[in-house]
Amino acid sequence: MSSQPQGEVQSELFKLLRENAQDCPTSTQLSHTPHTSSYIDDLNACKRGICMGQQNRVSINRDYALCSGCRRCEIACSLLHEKRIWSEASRVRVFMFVPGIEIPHLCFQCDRPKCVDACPESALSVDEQTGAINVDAQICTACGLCIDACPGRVPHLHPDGSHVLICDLCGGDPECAKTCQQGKWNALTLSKRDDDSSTRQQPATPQELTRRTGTLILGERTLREVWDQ
Amino acid sequence: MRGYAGKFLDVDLSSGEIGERKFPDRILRDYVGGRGLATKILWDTLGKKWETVDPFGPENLLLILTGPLTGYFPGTKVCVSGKSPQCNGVVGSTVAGEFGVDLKCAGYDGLIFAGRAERPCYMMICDDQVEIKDASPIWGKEGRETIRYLNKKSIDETKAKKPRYGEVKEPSILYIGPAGENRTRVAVVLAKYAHAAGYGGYGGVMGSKNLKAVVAKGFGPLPEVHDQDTMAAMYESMSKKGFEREQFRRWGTGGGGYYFGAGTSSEPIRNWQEEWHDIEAYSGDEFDKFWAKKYWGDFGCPVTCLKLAVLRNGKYEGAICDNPDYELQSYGGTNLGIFDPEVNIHLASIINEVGLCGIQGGAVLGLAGELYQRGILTKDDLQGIELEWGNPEAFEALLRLMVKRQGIGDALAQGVYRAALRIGEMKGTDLMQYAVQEKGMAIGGHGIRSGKDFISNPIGFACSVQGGDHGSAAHFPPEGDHGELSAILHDSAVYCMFAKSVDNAVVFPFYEAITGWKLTADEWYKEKALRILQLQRVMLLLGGPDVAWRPKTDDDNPPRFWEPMPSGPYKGKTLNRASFKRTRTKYYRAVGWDENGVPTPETLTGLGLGSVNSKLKAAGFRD
Repeated sequence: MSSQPQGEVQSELFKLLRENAQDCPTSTQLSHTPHTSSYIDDLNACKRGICMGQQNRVSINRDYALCSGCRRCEIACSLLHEKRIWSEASRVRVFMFVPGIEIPHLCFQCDRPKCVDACPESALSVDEQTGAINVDAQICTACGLCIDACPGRVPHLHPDGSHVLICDLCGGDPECAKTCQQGKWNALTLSKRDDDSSTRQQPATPQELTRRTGTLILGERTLREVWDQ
Repeated sequence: MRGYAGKFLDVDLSSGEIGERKFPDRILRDYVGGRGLATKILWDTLGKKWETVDPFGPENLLLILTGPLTGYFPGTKVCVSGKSPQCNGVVGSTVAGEFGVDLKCAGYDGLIFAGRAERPCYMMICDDQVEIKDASPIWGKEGRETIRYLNKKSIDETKAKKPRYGEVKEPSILYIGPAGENRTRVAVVLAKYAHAAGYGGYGGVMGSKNLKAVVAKGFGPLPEVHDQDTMAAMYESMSKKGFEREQFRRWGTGGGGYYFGAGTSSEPIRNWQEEWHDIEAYSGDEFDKFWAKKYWGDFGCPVTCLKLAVLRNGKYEGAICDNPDYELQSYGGTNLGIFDPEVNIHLASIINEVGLCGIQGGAVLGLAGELYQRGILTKDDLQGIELEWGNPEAFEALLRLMVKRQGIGDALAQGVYRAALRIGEMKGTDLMQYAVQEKGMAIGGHGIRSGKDFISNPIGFACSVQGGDHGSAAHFPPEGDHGELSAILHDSAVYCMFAKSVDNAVVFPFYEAITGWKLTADEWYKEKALRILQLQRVMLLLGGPDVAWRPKTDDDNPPRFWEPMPSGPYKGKTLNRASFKRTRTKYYRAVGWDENGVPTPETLTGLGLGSVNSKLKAAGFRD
């Protein structure tokens, strides 16, 4: 923390925060408040493989019916990666084609990712430590071929148009799942990545996930009434 | 000017001209945003001729404003304002959802609409591309059809503009239903299905401008803040406080339908003839059975107090609403003699679909119910409807007449106060004793006779500058977390007071972290908020053209609140007239008003409002 908040009230809150940060495996090794600059620097160090081994690979499980639509995952993701609150630049995006049917959409980490194969510039690669897709923003030309190749149409361009955005699992300790569990919504949870890909959630488009979740929550007839697919 | 996007859109719907507008730092420092800035803009634009401005005329403004904390504070809202067709003053009416965030991310702090479009239109904002578009395909349509159309159309258009972007998320939409289009005084501006800027009646103002909806999509980040690290740390710590509110998170206000009746005896029942019931079939547990999502919220919210209620089968299959929240449980339920959650969800869903205010609409239906009960309104007056308490079909039929303003529905569409006047005239009798309202606005479902409600304050409604608004009740002393000056903080910095889980003492440093401008509690309560309060008070007193409130005389509770409670554990209890008058006098003095409730020349000039003082003098408020 480069500058601690001043004043009594803030210090008290700051203390609470630190205790809170200790719940997660990465943060125990950090002495900083989530989302502050030094926290982000340390976490980026983790991403380079300092504290995560391949045996600790995680998957993010999604239970769409539990998503409250609070979009705190977008806030957490963009604060970490962009140092701003910037929903459109978040690697997880909550789609709400139908109010009440909120779909947090992010990379599914396929075993043989089609996006990587589709990239003509070899800007995408699978991270050896985490299994996440790494995007080399310097090489990426924002052609969008990876988006078309992805069966879930998950990647999207950074709003500045310069490169594509794909979840990097925050180096193995995803902020989105952390904030979702902190609030006890548990729409995004973590599990140890299973080598057997058949047990993992398969990529699907936000439209397809809206259709499934919407049918579950509203019923088929009402969903048709409220959503022009 | 951190925390602000830095510019507003000025839209003249009559000419179709769209321009950008900036406010100097000193205006933003004094009036902040949302409710405060709305008050300033309205005074500067319309103050001189305030009494003659028709709220439904093209000269009125419709304001949709964010504040500097919008998006950063955990719990987001946006503020809708203008000259209110209910109290004829200014109401800062907030609505949850992502609209404020999308607007700021598109580069705008707010929208200022003037004039009247020739034809039904909606406005589409996608970053710096701003267009006024044809709304004829959705004019006359209800909520879900409107959202369905605008969502699809806006996503398709954005995709066409950004072909390589990838999948495009939905935009944020504020819209009105038929109740707004038909210029009723009981219409809201809606977001999603059930989020509403209720108090004030701005749905009708939007309708009077032929503006069906405003759609915003912002691809940019929220504006830069002054101290990113403190902002992030405080966002976390305030959120943590929110996470700890287990009770409120679990039930939201959805346990209120039982609690405010059985627990506090402060729930409107059959037009406030009673405030107590002990019907367990109307408890949170019974509503819970219909909750398809138990935590439902909006951008950044740590509390997610809403619950998504859906009827999947039965007579009312297809109904969707939130909880319903307590106000709709009471005004769309107990106030009509309905104590069945399923029926209440159905009625709440209809109220949302047609764009009615749950409070104002439910209150005026309740008034009609009592007039029918007393034989003042007959079946003939009601186009054949037998308006028995507890009969949802009868109330729904009357609601539809009200939305279309047909027959007796036209009188009801004017809201409780004006409906009582008009029907009274029709029947040649004074009906104000049955109108539970404050300065043209039905009162939130929080009775004050038992003394057990969280408002429980004899001057709460009587002295509020926003009439019956239970979110802006006056309080003595005016400073601190429980009064109107505090409500002005929430509605001007624009965040959700329901999600707010910390004291105001924490909000001030958060404001500084965002804007870089120091703000002390003293400055707020003794100067800035007080200045906004005076402007609101003055415009309320000036009123016009169809109503004029008498200071002091009209700073009173509705007649029914002076009657003894007829039932329940607080039977016989009522307000004490002498204590009410004493508190009112103390409050007047504390906020700088004279013994008649008119802001004194010293107060106004001391706050730099000299022109306001001259106007009051010219309007005859000074001897």
